Amino acid sequence: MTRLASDDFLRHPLKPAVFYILLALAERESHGYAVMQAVRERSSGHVPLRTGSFYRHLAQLIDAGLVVEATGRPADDDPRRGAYYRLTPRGHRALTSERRRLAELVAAIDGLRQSPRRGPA
Amino acid sequence: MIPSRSGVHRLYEWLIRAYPAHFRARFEHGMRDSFQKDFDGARVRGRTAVISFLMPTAVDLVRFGLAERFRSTPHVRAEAPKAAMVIMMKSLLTTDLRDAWRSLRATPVVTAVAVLSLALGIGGNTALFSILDSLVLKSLPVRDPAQLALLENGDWTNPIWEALRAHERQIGDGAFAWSATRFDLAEGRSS
Repeated sequence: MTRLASDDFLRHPLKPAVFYILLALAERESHGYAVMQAVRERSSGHVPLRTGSFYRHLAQLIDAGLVVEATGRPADDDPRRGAYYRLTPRGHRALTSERRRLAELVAAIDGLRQSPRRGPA
Repeated sequence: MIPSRSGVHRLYEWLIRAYPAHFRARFEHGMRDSFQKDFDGARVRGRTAVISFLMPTAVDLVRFGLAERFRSTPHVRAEAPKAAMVIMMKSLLTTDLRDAWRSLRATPVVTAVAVLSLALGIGGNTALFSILDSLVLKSLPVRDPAQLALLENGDWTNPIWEALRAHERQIGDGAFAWSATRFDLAEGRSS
């Protein structure tokens, strides 16, 4: 698999796992396990994210400039948790473009429902 | 029996080697933390939960670790086109193998028929080759097969054969004879 360019995340539909990771990080800066848990909860377990797949997605998002390692962390934090991550402005743009794309899809489906049905000529 | 924490930790340390060293150095603490917490959660729920956690997680770690190893980097692309080409070929191969595996899984009946046909074809060919090999290709089980001589198209009566056998050491290493003519020693009959 080739390395994804940052524009790929803006131009193409996001994978469900990537979408939920960005969504979790848009809410707050978090360490890896907290993001994984947030994805599981938000997707009601429909996104089967595990350690291996999560950190690969995270690496791709960091390399594409959508996520960055946060510099600060809570004073009482457990150091075994690893790094904290946050969304970059580019990550926010990716989420916004995904939101627009999903809204267009919903609008297209709604338009389909409202248009009168025609039988075969 | 639920696997011990130390045993699972050793398993994790072994599985994580599927990832390249630079990736492990980058996410080491977070990955270990996530794995450990998921395992602890499964352990509380019992043996079935532990198995349901360990099996897919192990597959996941190996799968994505290997995928990360074969992932090309801008650094490689810019400075070593030959290495980048090798990595790209590996990536294409990985994609092809994945697509092939998915196609096979999507059509189990076709897959079963194809595998059965291949098995029968390979088995039949192997059997035929074994017969051909033993009858035609393989040399006779004697010390020097190239030195064998066949004497035929003559009037090889029994006295001649007896004389040959009496001097077989002078002619060669040995001699034997056979005849397609059959004798019926029953009284009043001959063939």
